[in-house]
Parts: sequence; C-alpha cells; structure tokens
Amino acid sequence: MSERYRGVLAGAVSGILAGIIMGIVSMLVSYRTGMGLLLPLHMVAATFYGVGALVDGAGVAAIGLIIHLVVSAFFGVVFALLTQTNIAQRGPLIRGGLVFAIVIWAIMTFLFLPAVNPTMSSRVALQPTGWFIEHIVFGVVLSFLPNIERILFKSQRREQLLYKRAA
Amino acid sequence: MFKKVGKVGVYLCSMIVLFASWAIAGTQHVSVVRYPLQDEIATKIHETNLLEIEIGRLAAEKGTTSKVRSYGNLLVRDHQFADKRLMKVAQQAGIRLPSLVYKTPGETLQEAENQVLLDQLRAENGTQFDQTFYKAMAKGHQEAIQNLSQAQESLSPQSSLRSYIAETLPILGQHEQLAQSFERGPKS
Repeated sequence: MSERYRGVLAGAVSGILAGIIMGIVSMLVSYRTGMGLLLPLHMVAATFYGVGALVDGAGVAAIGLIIHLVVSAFFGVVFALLTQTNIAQRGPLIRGGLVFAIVIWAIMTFLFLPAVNPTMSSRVALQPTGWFIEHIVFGVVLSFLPNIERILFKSQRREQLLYKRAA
Repeated sequence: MFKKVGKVGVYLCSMIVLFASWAIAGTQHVSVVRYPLQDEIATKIHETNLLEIEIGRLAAEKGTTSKVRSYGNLLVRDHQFADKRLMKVAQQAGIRLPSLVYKTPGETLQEAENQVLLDQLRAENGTQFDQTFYKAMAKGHQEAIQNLSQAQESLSPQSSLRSYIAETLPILGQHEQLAQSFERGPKS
C-alpha cells in the first residue's frame, strides 16, 4: 500500500473520529440548552430535507449523522493531504489542526450554511460560542492523525521492516 | 502626619461608600436608561413566547400524528430558549418584564384573543385539535413576523433587543413554514 493511500485512509478515519467527538459535544451543548439531544442531527439533515427535518423522526436524524460523518471524513482526508502525515512534532500538528478547524468554521458559517442549509445557519447563529468550540474540538482530534495512522498500519509497517532487514 | 493619614482614611472611606452605592445601583439597573418602546416590545415578545410554549405543550400532548407532536415539542424548546435569551437581553438593557400566566382572560385585546385560542385548544381533541392548531400557528407566526419586523425598524441599530429580534425572526419563519406545510396536508 502506498504512503499516499495510507495517508488518505488514515485521514478519513481521523476525520470520522473527530466528527464523532464533535457530534457528541454538539449534542451535549444542545441538550444542556434545552434544545434536545438529537436537534444537531436534524439540523444537518435539513441540508436535504429542508425545514421539515426538524420535525421528522429518528430516520432523518440517522441520515443527518451519516451526512455529518461523510463531511468529517472528507475534511480528514483534506487535512491528511495538506499535512502529508509526516510531521512528527505534536506542536505544529495541533496548531495546524486548529487553523484548519477555524477555516472550516468560517467557510461553514459564512458561505456554505447560508447558501445550502439556511435552517441550520439561523440556528447555529443563536449559539455562536458553542458552534465555534465544536470546530476547535474537531481540529484538535484531527491533529492525532499520525497516531491513528500508526495504529491502523502497525502490522504493515512491521512487515515492511522485516522485508527490509531480510533484503 | 496623623492629619494626613486621617484625610487619606476619610478619602478612602468615601471612595468605598461611593463604589458600593454604584455597585448596588448597577445590580438593580437604576443607572440604566429605560425606553418605554423597548419595554413594550419586549413584553409583547415575552407574552408571545409564553403563549407558544403553552400551545406547544398542548400539541405535544394532544396531537394525533407524530409530526404534530414533534412540532409541539419544537415550539416548546425554541420559545423556552428564546425567552431565556430575552431575559438576558432585558436584564442588560434594564427592561422590566411582567410575569404572565395564561389562566385568566388578559386585560389587553391581544391577551384576551390568546386566552380564547388557548381555551379552544384545551377543549378540542383529535383531528379537530390538529386543524385549529395548524391554522393558529400559521396565522400567529405570520402576524408575529410582521409585528417583529416593524418593531425591529423602530429600534435603534445599537439596541440589543434589535439584534435579538434579527436572530429570532428566521426561527419564527421556520415555525411558520412548518405550520403552512401541515395546513397543506400532513403526511404522517
């Protein structure tokens, strides 16, 4: 498996993991403010279902979850390609993750959501701090990309090392 | 020497007394300039929030379809959150909000109309309840949006109540859209 392909795969997995943690934070924030645990998922689903997604059942919430994870995986891959996964120090990676998260937050808040999902756009505007923090969490988790790659391809690396030694 | 210390002491004590009275006045919002128009607008919003919460509760309880019950829950959550935010804005701007309870007919025409609607919704059941609920929500939100848009224009651009209204209007628009879609014909 090529280095690039491994990076992309690790990026997707990191993105999904970061998306799951971001989702949990966002659901907890929503629950704490009395808006209900599943509202963030319904808001994401409004991308395709419009405002009706807010009163639809658990199926629509599940679709919201899938959309969120697909988008998270996409951003994870972009992050992996940008960092090339060979930065060894934690400092630059965390800084990179934070900058990447702020860029995503800005694009989502000012460009993507107002144009594609106005239902979600007007609702996240009511909790701007929580919305920003959720993205920061995403960026921090994403910066663990090399660790995830190491875990994912542990056996493959061992094989490569053995092959090199034998050669 | 003692005279100097005494003078400093008196000066310090008077400063402390002044600061304490300023701090107490600050907590009671005595120093905040109050505008009657802001009070009136905020009271109307508060009144509407309480009415929507009550109607939402009834819909969550008596709605015949899952969508109507979900819509009722959404109304309760959104208007409770909106009212919490309004309380904060009111506190910052020195607006006094009355505590309203929808049990007895109100003094103003709007309150009396609201009471009639609440009594009707409490009395009705089944699909009849749903019909009254959809119509009331579509009409009520349409009126609320019109009134709030007008109120927004009358407030100064720096007013925190104005930005509150600007943030609240899209949510009311969503409620109106949902009510209209139900009026056209709910699918579940």
